[in-house]
Amino acid sequence: MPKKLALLTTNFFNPAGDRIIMGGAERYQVDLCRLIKKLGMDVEVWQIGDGWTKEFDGVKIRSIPATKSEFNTFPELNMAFYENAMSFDYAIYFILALAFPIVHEKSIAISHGVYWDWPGFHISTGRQEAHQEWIRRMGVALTGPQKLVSVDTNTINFFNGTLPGNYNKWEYIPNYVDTDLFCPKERKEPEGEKVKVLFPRRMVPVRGVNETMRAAEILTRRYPWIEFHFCGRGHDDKVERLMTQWINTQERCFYYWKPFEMMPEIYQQADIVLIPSRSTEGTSLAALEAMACGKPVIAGLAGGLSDIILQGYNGYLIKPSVENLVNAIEELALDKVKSKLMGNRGREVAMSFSKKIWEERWAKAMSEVFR
Amino acid sequence: MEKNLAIFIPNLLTWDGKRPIIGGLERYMITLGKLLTDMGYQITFHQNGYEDFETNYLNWPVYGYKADPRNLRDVIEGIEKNVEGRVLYSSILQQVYYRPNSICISHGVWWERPGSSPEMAKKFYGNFVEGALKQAKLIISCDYNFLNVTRAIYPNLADEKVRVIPNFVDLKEFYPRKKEKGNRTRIVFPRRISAERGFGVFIDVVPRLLNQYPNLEVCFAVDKNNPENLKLFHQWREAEVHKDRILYHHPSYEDMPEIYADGDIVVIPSIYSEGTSFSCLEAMAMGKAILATNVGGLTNLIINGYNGLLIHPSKESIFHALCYLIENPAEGARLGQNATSTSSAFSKEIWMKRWSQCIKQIYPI
Repeated sequence: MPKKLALLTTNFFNPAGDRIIMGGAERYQVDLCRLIKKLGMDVEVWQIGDGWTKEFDGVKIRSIPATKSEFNTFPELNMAFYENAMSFDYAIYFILALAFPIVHEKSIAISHGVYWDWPGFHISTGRQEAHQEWIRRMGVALTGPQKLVSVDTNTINFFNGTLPGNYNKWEYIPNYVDTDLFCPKERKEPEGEKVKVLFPRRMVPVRGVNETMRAAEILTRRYPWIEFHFCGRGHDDKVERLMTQWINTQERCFYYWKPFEMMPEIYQQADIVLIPSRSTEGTSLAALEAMACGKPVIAGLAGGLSDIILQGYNGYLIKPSVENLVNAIEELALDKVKSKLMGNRGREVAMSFSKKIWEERWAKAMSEVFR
Repeated sequence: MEKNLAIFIPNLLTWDGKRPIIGGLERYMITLGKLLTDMGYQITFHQNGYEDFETNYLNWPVYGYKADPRNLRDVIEGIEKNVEGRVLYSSILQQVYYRPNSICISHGVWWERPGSSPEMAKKFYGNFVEGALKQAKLIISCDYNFLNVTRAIYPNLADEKVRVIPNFVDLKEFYPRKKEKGNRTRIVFPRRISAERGFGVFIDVVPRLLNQYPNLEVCFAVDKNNPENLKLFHQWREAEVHKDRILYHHPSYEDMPEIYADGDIVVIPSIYSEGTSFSCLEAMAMGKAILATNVGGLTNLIINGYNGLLIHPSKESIFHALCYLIENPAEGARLGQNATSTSSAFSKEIWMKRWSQCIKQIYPI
């Protein structure tokens, strides 16, 4: 009999079960489930919802009617999962906070990066005592699982610096990129004067979309040969509509989104890729994909981005203000030799984050806990 | 405007004021001192001492203030009272009081000691980091890790006050060159003898390695700052079966290129309190196969599998990673080549350019 593994997440589908946006976390989950099956285990996913069951990519997804969140944790969901998934051999808590208050005997929890490094989070936790309670609960969440996997070193260093005591539980398994799929390719159109700048993120403030829009306004006015491509979805229809409205008032700015299969080409057609996150960042899949396609990356200095980008070597790490963005983009747009060199180095660096290496690391981590 | 600038530093010289201290912070401040002098500032150093003293070092006046090692807070208050004018604070953990319009330097997160507790950790960041964030005008951090950790605790303040200037390497002194001595594989440990630098963890794997690889030697390029630690090192070495293959040096800064040149593998096994280590940067520039840990700012220098190996600081991981590098010299050479290539992003010139911008902004003359 194959061993059975249950993976707990919050929202792979939305709670109603009718909408899914394939972002980084969702792709990570799909790839992890594929790996688990490849290693000979059965896997099921559990999430918030009103009791529906679905299948995605050959994996059963069950929902638990437990929507309550308190202090940015989900005790109700956690407890219901603990009781209902009792017959499973192993568990993965796909989000660290889901490991509060109780975990399965043989379990791993994953951190996808620090998401509390922006002022808004501190508003969401409310008063000082509420913030303390959130920290206390995170301390409990760290204690239960046998292993804590982090996609970046920043998270490990943050917890070692604030909630020490789990020093040897942490394991750094950086994110990955399929370096065959995402690879450098000759441009369709002959290389002319045109410089294409790509923003391949969701249209949300923490990703620096507003700063990028202002930078686009400034630079398209300054240089007739520069183009800005915004490629990604908003959290809702309203954001996407606003984006389209703004685009219509701009010269040489474009807004669209593409399915994952089309993304290699999107990167390949770009000259400069922007990942100007203000916060809430791990080892960004988008940054790794851009690097794998041989593009220089201008990144915010948040979270795990400093694990994959060396300032001035394969891109830039900047505080993503409008001014800093304009300067960095301008520098690369005007210096094609430098831009090419950084892109080539990005490809080299990306090879150390190949999917194969990621699978090997995860297989090893799982073999240490799931036995 | 005045040209005087006082620099507070825990120990540029030993507490008797006689000898320079060997360490990253001291190296950093000497380089910064030269830059400030070139920019036209009259700098003075103010540090701890056994007694009050006044001396000169590299043509800079150095003032020692009688300090009680058990109560360093008193001495910094004394220094504060004695010094007038503008101050640059060389270490974020020397004081909790800052003059307005001053720069404070962070050499990395230092309080994440294994075995610490949330309460102890909070004492450190709650006093020292918060004090600096609230009062200093600018905190120059030598790594992104400090910025990211503090921003996860103090989002607004850290974003506003912390600027990252990674440490540097002098590429005119450190560059790849041919190994001249010996045909053995040599591991170099270019660190101070101290717990946070992973000395204890490393010497624990050395006997196993020497046993397993008869053609291996290990070279300790270590400090003499603390006589007690040095004694322990020699006691340990003397008791080892393969002590003839355990070499040691107490190099001056100028000797370092040669020390690296004769090595094949360089190990930076820090377990906590690490920034963008000079030793790591120098080994990178020399094109060595580097084994570093995923602690502090080392993660901003080494990308695992690209320009070195970056591992969890445990004995097991260090042992296995070193075996891998010993058995795969071609892989070590590839990592070393990429290390040289990446070190170009950390040149001394870039560092000086960034620093002089900050100095002009905060301490105009």
